[in-house]
Amino acid sequence: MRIILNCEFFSIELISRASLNALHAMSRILLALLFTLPTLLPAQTLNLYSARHYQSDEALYADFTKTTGIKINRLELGDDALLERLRAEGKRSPADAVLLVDATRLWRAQQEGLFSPVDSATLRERIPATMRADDGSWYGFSTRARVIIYDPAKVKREQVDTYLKLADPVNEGRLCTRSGSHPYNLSLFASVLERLGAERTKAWLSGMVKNMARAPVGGDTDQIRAVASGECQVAISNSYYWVRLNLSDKPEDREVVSKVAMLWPDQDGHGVHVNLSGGAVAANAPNRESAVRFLEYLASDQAQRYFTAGNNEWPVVDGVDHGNPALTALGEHKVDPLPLAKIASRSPQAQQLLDEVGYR
Amino acid sequence: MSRGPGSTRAVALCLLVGGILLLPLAALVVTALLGFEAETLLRLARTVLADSAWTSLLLAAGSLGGALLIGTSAAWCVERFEFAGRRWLAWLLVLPLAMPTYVIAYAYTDLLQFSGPLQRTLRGYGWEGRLPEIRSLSGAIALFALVLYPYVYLLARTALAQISLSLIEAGRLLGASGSTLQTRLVLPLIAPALVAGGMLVLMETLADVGATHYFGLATFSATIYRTWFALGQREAALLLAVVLLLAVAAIHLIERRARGRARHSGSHTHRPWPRQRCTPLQSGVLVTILLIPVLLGFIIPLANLLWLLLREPILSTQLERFYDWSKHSLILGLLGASATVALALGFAYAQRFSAGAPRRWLRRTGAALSFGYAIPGTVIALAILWPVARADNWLADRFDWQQTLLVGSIGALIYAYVLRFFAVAWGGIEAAMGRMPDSLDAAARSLGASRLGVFWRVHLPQLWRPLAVAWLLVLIDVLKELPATLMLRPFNFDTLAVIAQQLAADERLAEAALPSIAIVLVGLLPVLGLNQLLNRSAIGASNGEKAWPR
Repeated sequence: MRIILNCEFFSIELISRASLNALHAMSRILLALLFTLPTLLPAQTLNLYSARHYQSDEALYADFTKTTGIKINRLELGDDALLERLRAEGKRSPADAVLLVDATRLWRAQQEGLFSPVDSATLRERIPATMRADDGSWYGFSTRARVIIYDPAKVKREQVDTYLKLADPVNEGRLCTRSGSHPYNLSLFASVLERLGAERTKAWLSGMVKNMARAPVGGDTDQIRAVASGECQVAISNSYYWVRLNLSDKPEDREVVSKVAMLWPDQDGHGVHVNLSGGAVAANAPNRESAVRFLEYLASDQAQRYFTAGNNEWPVVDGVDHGNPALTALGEHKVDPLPLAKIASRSPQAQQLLDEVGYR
Repeated sequence: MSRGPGSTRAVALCLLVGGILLLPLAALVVTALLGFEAETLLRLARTVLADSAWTSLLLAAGSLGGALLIGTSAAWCVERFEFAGRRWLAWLLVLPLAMPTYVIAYAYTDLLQFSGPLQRTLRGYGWEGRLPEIRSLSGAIALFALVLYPYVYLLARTALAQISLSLIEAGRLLGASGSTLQTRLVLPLIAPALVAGGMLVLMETLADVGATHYFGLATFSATIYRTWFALGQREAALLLAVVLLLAVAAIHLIERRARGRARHSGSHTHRPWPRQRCTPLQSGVLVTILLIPVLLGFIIPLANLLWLLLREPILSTQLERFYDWSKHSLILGLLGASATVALALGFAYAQRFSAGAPRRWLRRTGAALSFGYAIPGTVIALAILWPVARADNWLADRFDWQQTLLVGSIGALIYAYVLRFFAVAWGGIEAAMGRMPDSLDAAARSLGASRLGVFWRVHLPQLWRPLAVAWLLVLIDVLKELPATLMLRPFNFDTLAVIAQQLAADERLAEAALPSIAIVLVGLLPVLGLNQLLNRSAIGASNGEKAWPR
């Protein structure tokens, strides 16, 4: 049978009713495919929003699934985008657990009520108080230290062995950093602000701007490479970027490592600043139980070792033998005991100071 | 012009779909105007606003100038001269289109930075100077011009190929020759194509967040992003986005005027305008010059990425999931391109069959939808995220669903792509539709052809190439698209672009090489398709093929 559909401005002639039916069926399947992907999830699942993009995390997640039988659905996004999606989705958000890589963002999300506090004896017991929110809104699971990299041929160690010395006139034209607004720097500056107050911090930041060999550009690895190539002589970097270069067997990376040295800042003072990567349970988690189990799993010895093996971060849990020779090789060091929640609360003001002194 | 009840419904349908698509943009404007804090804006105006606007202006003007220069001269050489290797160069010149701005930025950063291989080698020979920093405004302008010129090149080539010898002969009969012929006759004929291509370059530059973010450029888009996230001032950020929209609207109006004046109806028989033959020496010079953009915009960055890749042990997990990433990229590309082109075609038809107020409204809606292309990808992603999430919550409350449907679905992504890339399809399709005189339809109808008959036997033979070109352009754009894909994608749905960006953000440039190369290679397929289309049109023309079959 031949039917003619006079459909708007196109006349679509269809050869038979059969093909019409087939078209219907196909469009249904297509629609179903388009709109039900998120709903086709099996019962025991955990919907994870993660700002960590380390390939090694996959082993961590696979291990969790093996141990608990809970399947993980993953959505990896930058911290800002991740939180915005969480905000927009509101009470119907499918997110159960959230992983972020900076204490400031964890703190901000907590302030906005995006997390739901977790009261877990396991977590309280295993995670040190300085590494979590007071009310259990978020927990740190691994730490990364903000270390100083310098060129031992041109710079004396004692000229750069504290953060404050980076602003000394002796270091004029020597300093390389990534953007000051980057959370890794912002968190360090906020910790200084917490200790020194606005006025002295502003003077310190402006001294660093004066000492810069070039405007902030690139990431931490780029700063280390810049020191090795002679573009500048001092830089700040997260510890794991340094370790990653150390472990590389590429000749140009070996060359970089051979030309620069790393030091633990402020060892006679408060200790090196560390930031953390941490997790939380989303405020409207549909699978809250799975999410809590996930956080508890992240505090287990095994998971803690994954963090350190995969991305060369330090475990937060005391007494975990990380067994990572690359970390052991960095030596013992004193860590700034300032609670990260407190540092985080200072970061908006730190950002304002950066704008005032023109630290890009 | 055939008007009837059918066309009224068609117009209504198009306006409805367009309206739904425009909702996020409207919401953006309203939220911005109602909610911004004057204080934040004043603070921004005092500190970063003027600088970032200036940076964006320079970036846009520089990239546009560069792309027009490379694209037009390349198209002219390929279409107007006959030389050895012409057909090869014709498609080689399209290749940079497959190179996303952020990928070329990664490649050149690695290659050219102070600590990179080139400068290290130079220093090894005792050189003490330093190359200009690639991660800078001028670096970005150069890279943008290199990867965006194919938009101009492709459209200019199509326009040049469509110039009929009859027109040129008429021009000559009227006494025009040499430069007069080119400026008075040829230039106006290809001007709409240049303007359309230039608009694409301009909007792509203004909306870029990949390369500019990686280079740390303080562009207007970067200020919007920072205001939103670092300062947490959503409304102020949206207002800045509205300002950007207005700027684009102004440019758009200028484009409209240019095209309005240049509107012309194609001649009824196409006779190819023969190319000038070149001596071997001229051929050699032409080939050398034309190879430069291909080398700089495609071969060198790709080679550098390959070199990075070969020296990096490929993780087996990466390879395993590689197939999934590519598949996801392609699925999104195919669906996004088809939806966008279908909508643009619908609009073009509804406009053809209407007149007066409805026609004006269609034109305005089409123009408004085109703005999506100039909004920073991040802003459009956010602008879509909020209303869609609201709709999700409303639906879930209303029908008591356990799960939400829209955010994190492929449907939401397609929505974003259509809004973002409508301009890419619309420009070419509308222009092609405009080239077909209305009298054509009338003639066909008076000979007893049905509407479908007119579409099938009269319009399609002339439209299918612009349609296919539009489809391929959108496909490539979706493959390269980053911010909306990142923010709106479903669980466990990584694409090549997403993975490349994540690895680069984690400072693992060498590992980002594999997905980056893959984006380029996957993007090559449509690019090659594009070239086939254009070549066939050239062959068809030179065989004296009739413009449409009887």
